[in-house]
Amino acid sequence: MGFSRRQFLTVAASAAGGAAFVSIMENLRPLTAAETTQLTSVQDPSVKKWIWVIDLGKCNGCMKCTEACTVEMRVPPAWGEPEYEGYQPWIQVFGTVGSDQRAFFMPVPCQNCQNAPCVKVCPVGANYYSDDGIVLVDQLRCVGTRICIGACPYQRRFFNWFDPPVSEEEKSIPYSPDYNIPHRRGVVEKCIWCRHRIVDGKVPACVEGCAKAGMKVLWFGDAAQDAVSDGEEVVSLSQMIKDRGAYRLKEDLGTDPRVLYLPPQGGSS
Amino acid sequence: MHQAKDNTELLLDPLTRRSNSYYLLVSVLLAIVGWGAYAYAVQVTSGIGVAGIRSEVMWAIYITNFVFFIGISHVGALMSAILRLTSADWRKPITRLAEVVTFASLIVAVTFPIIHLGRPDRWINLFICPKLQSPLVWDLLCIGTYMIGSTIFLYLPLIPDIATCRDRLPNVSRFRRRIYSVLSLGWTGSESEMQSLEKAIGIMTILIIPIAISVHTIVSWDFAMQLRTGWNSTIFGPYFVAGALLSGVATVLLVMAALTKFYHLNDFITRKHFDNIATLLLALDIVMVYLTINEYMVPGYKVLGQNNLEGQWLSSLLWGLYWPRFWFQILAGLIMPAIILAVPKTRTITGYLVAALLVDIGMWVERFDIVVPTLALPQLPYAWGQYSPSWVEISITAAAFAGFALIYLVFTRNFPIVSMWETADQSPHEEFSAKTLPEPTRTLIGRSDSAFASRRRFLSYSAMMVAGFALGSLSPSIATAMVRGVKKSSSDVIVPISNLGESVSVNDVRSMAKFQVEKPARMPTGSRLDDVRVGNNGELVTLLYVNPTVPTIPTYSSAVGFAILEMLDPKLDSPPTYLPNGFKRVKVNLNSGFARESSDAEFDNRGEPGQLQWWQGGVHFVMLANIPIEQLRQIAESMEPI
Repeated sequence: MGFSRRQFLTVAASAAGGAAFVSIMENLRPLTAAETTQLTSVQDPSVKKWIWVIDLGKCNGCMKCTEACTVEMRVPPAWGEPEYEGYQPWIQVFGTVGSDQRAFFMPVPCQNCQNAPCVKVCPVGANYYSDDGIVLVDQLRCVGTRICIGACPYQRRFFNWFDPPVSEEEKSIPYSPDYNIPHRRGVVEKCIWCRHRIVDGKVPACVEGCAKAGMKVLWFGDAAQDAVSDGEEVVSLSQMIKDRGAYRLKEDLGTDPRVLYLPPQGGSS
Repeated sequence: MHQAKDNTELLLDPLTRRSNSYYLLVSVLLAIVGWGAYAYAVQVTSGIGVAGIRSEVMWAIYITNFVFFIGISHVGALMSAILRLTSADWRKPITRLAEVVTFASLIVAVTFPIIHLGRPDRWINLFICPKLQSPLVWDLLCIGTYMIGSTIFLYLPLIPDIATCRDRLPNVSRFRRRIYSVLSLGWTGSESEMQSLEKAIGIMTILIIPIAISVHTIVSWDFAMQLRTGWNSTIFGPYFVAGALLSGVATVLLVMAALTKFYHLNDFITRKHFDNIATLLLALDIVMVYLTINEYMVPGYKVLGQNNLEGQWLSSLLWGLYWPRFWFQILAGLIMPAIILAVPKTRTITGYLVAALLVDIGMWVERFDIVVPTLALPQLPYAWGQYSPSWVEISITAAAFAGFALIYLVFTRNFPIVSMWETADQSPHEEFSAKTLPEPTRTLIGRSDSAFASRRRFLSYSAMMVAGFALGSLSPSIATAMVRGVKKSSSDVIVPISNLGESVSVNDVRSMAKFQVEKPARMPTGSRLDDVRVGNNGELVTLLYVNPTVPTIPTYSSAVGFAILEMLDPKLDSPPTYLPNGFKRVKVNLNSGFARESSDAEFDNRGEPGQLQWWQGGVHFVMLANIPIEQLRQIAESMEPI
């Protein structure tokens, strides 16, 4: 695909969106002690509390995470959606130049809200939480009203406007909401935190891609066990939050996301 | 009794007439509906992507039409139920025509939720696994109830008239005779039948009002229940209901005019009816103006001019991307009609029709502006969503309006559009008198006679209205000016140079201290800097160069021969690792200096201009030209090396 007018405008506008981006970052507030305790408290270790920690201080916007995601999940084409290499960016890297002229990047996967607006509004119950709290889409039930796309305050939902190309190999994969392949037309797509991988004890594909690129931005783990990993080393989640201070996006909406952001400058001011 | 016979004959006349023009009109409308059906078939077979909607703006014209037609349907409940309850007897000749508006628009409206589905083949899921938590399911329940209720409400007072048709139209086709005889339920017109009918109508009258109000409130909740800036409004319910009544009454006014013209109903629908409906329209218009001020003034006071999401949304409506539509709706859709309806000189039938048409168009635009700008607003820092309707959406919309007209036309040719049994005792040419109205109706409607009678009263009314409108339209801008004045005086605020990639003049850019505009080294001689795009923070986004020897790229707002895109990166002398959204990573050989990005024409067949990318001193350059890539490569190679 060439360099279309749409892409061109997108570039202009995405850089222009920087101001809004900065304002989002300014509005972040650190998690309170109570919230940290609630997040990291060990209740029943057998019940997973998946959690994602994203270190904004280390991200250089290489987009290896998006690349790995696109390959692993065989992400459908974008058809005019926000796009990465022509595909839907399930984990999208936003970037801007801050007021100090420093480039600044933020990977945004599905926030996996525990009070998810998308789950509430679905008229047929196709959006649901798995046992371990991951928001999944049953694409065999979805009727495509797209109200969940409107309801998601993080714009992390995508739609298959046409028939996605499906290879013979993909056709042979049995569909499951845990591994939503093969993709189909007229239904909503989203990042599902690679649930097919994490139940096998592996980190999501993007985390692996990030670690392979040597970035160590994305950390994935289980809050119930107070551990997060980039696929290579395992560290303590509560220690990480304590050292750096963690934030969540649009905390004021009360969606209770499961993605924590560590601020770029280090320390929580 | 003799008089009643005349009335009945007059009203049965359109049912027996079948002229060529009628058939012609029906075929034209059928053709439009058929074309819409074809467009829908295309959408079903190729995927809903053939509509112009995309990720960000994922609802658009279909939902606008849905809200609009549901809105129009409210007039039946208003005209029949509310006016029946207040014993406004003048309503009798126009009750049914309003109820048929309800009936026809509801049939059209309910198709849109199905049309807009991504998977229409799975619509049954909405019934077999509905989730009560979802506003869409409330919609389903509510609209279903309303549809059944309003059909019964239309049907009940129709029974005696169908019986009359059955008895007095022996010459119609056997099929129609059969329909009449089935639908009349063996009505004989006895006293006991009449009593049960009045009772049933009484019950439905009470029931239909809360149902109607709940329907449009819940339609508004489809939006208001989502976590979206612009839809976070607590007055969406009344705002939608008021808009619904307004557009419905306007539609009834248009229908009344058409019926009196073509069916010669002047004896029943008199000038008085037009005057009353026009006054009602004026009253509703003013309510709508009041609610509109509320809807935009409250957030405007707080966030206008600020760079948060709500501020961006509001400024996009008031003076940003969407201002032409927004102000058209306010000025032409609300204020103009109010003036036309209020000034005695324009209180003519023509004036009424112009006002009604403006109101209807304005209300459609209003719904569109509720749906689209809110969705286009990026929730995370990204590009604004773009939307332009495709031919499929336009065809289906045209089919919806044609379908509405068709249902109406066919109904009026098969059933009497003015209630015969209710108007039987009203002699033709009888002058309608406000004095005979009961007290509550007189206060609501009766005023219209006297309100503009004296010049002084008219002047005071007009002055008040002008002051009100002036306050309504000026206060947001005064508020903004104040807000902006405060912001400018503080020292360290970054004043946005332009909004969202909008272009500024080259001189503006030169005057900015943040960066120097220098000609990139790899540039064909004779190139001239044409345009500069900067972001909200003042960072350079794009430089557009023109070169007279290279064919221009017409798709850009200003045709350019080359577009050079620069992205500054803090780590100089190395390829920047950051690519802006929408850019593709290319393997760059710093020695050769350029590479072509991989072609990926599978999903995008538009002819794209050639493109070269390279890095230079930490700056990412993209060169576009409307020529084949080989030619562009030759130009690049002939340029001076870095």
